[in-house]
Amino acid sequence: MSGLDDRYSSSAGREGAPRRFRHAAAQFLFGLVGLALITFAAVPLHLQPGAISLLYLIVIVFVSLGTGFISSVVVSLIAVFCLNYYFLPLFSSPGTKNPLAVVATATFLITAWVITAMVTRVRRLTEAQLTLRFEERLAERTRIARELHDTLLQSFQALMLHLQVVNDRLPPGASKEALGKVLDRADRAIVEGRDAIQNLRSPATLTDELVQALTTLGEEFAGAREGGTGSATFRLSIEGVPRSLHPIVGDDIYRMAREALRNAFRHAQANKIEADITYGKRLLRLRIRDNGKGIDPKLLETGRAGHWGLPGMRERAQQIGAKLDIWSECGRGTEVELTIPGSIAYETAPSRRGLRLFRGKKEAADEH
Amino acid sequence: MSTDRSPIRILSVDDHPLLREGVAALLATRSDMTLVGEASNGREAIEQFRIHRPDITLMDLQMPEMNGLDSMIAICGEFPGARIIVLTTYAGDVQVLRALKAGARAYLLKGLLRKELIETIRLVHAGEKRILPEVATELAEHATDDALSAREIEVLRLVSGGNANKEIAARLSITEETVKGHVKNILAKLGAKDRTHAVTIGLKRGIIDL
Repeated sequence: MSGLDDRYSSSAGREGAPRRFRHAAAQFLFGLVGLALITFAAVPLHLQPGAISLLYLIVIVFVSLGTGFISSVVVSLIAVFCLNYYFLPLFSSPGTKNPLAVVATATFLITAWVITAMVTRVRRLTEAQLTLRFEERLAERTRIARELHDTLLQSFQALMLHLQVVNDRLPPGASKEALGKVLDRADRAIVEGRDAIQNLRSPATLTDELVQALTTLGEEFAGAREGGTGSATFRLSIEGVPRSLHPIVGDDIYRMAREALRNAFRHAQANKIEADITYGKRLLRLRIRDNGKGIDPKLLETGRAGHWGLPGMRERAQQIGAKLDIWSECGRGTEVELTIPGSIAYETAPSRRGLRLFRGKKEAADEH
Repeated sequence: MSTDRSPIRILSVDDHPLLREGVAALLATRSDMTLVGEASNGREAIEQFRIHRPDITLMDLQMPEMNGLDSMIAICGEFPGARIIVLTTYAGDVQVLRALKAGARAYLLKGLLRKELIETIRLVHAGEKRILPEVATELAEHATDDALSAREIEVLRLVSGGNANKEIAARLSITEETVKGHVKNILAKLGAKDRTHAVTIGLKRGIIDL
């Protein structure tokens, strides 16, 4: 639970405390195993102390990628101990110091800690940047809502009063009745607008299941086309176990999917439209395919004037760090593929870019 | 209804000129009501109230310089018999409660003005209080909820402004850990999934303003 609000806090981790601890412990353990392997392999392989320290450094870099500063410092101290104990005796004979070994040890430690500090800093900066982006967008939405409230909504509410005065002045009859009805409908429209402004997030993400949202969209579009020019069949297939999406990113994914589906239903003249959602461990993939007339290559580049369409989708994809690919050939249909890294798309995805090895196993275990 | 009585004297307070015009136009069609003054913020409202001593004051809540709430508290402190009707866009339960505590006699949504304004003015003038069913439902729904503390409201307001925990901590001169604790409490009290959701709920319930 706490992981959800932590996600937005800048430098702190993004997972719940127990989970974070488990993760750090696994990485720490991995570091120890790595050191032990190198140490035991070094003797039969006749590795030089220089090569061994390089291998140790690599392990330390991995540990500092996955865990905090302290555990990588501990691992590097253990590495120094191994180095001294097995390969580069600090005391060649009792009482006499080997100055070269002291310098080598110091150099090793300094290098290890500088690397650790740098890695930690870069990781924090990246996390802070991602957080900032979401915070900025939240602020932006609030600002837009305020603007709409202060201008459009207030003006409409005021105009309704003026119209009511006109209605009051009309003599009883058909026109008065008609105007009354229009006013009632306008009231409802204003209430809808008001509530939309208040809901900073679209209702689609509140139900928060992309699958459900797409099913509803497909039905909606298919229904809208009935009585029009034939009807297309819509099929949705899901691979993997559905997961909750990050609220803001989920909203963007939904909107892109909506746009792609709308294009397929409205413009493609297809009779078969398919959507696949793949909930992968590291990726969320969304594919929307139709067997329609395809998109004109020129349109693919620039989009239709006045349409949010393709350029809007590209812009959104870029903003959230997703990849958008569109394949289309005249007369042979269109396929839109949206790929989003799991660390961005999923609500509780671990964001740390550490070793995938342990995470993969743990997730596989969680799923079974 | 007796027509020989003197008309109800009304002061209209709203920062939106078009809305004041609309109210004026609506009141102009009634012979038993007359608009005696207008104000575009809370401070002006106090001045106008002193000059005109209206029977009824129509008060917007969100205004620049001085908001409706502070203005109402000042007016009711100086003139305990003041009859004030709050006009606003949203029916957040917390905002309604605040307005009623500040001395409002009625709470009207701007979307319902054209149908309800005249009736509400008459009722409040006759000494009654009026809460519309829409507003009452909202109040009842959260009647047993834990209220946010003043500090938590402050934190939520900063969250809605797009501040990260670190910035909130700096602004309020508290530690980041304390901010996290506040955020956690806010999420629990509001039943929110995350910060965005908390801001949405906060706006809806009138805990924070847009």
